[in-house]
Amino acid sequence: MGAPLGDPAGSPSTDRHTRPDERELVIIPALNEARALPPVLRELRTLHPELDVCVVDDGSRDETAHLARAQGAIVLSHPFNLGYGAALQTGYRYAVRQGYERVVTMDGDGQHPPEEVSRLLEVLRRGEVHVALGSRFLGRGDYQPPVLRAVGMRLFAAIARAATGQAITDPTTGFQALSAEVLAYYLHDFYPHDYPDVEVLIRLHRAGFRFKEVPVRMLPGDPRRSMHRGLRPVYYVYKNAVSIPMALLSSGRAP
Amino acid sequence: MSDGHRLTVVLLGLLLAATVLHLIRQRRLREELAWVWLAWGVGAPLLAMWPTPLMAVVRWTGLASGGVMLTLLAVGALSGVGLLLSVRVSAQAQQIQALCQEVALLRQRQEAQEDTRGGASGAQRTG
Repeated sequence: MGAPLGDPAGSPSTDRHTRPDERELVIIPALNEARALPPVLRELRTLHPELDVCVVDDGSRDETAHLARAQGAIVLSHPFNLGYGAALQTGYRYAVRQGYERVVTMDGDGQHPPEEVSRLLEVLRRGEVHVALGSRFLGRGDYQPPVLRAVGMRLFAAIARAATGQAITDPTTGFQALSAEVLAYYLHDFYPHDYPDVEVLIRLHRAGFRFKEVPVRMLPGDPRRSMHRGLRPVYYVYKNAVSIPMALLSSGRAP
Repeated sequence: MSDGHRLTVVLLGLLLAATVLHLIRQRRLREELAWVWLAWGVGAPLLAMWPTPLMAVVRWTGLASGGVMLTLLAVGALSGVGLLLSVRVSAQAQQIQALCQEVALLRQRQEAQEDTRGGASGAQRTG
């Protein structure tokens, strides 16, 4: 059901390849990021004043929402913590209702440098794909994950490659650019509230959406604040062991 | 099954049924989730009083006794209730998530409107 892509040859040859009425939004899910988020927002505003920025505060107990608002961001606050995927989906709901043409998702902890945003958006603006996935393993930057995580990432990348037939090196990336058609697709119930990774890529592929990886630089995050700390990797493996076969069995069409 | 066993099953079943009905009456339990408990509360005493159908099944399945059969039924019923509750909780988690997302969006809209109003009245005051 993938929506037709815009004709790349028909794209205007301006720097941004956008019409004045095409609005773009950066969505940043954030949980207790009062320290790391303001510099990210400042840099985004300096480098990309043309982009709107939406922070989804996923039930933070600190000043995240207040500080984001002070930096001029649109703030959507969950009454309590719902999970990373649910926070993204709240941002997608906002983007769809406000009629944004394209969205970039990035983390608020400083792992995703704002200067890389345009690399992702450019791919989408050219109309090549519906989703541009920022990959930290395509030669840009020198990100080195911890050994165990590197093994897991390789395993899930291999599964994603086998299931979609596409070259995927970084299936857990949260640094992505998405077209409006994909945003509407992501509003359905199948979108996971916790880890929208390989399962979602498989569903995208089966629904006929096109995606490709784009080399981006990423910085290491604080391991104490990682989404994959403690026993979470065990849950992550279990969750994927169940959800990936379900995604493979799905028609790809939204239920 | 001895008379004492039979009486115990009847009393426990009736106690269960009474508790479930009491909870329904107080609106602490919805009818749609209560039927398994009610079926068990009524069915177990009935089978204890008139065990013929139960014994027929016991003979047919080759189980050792009616007690084993009742235990198996109880495990099956509890598993069914557990699964039913898991399904309900999953559905509710999805609904709660959607509600929270709406709350976040509505809150943002309200704040944006308040900002606009505040800005307009501020402009009027300075103008």
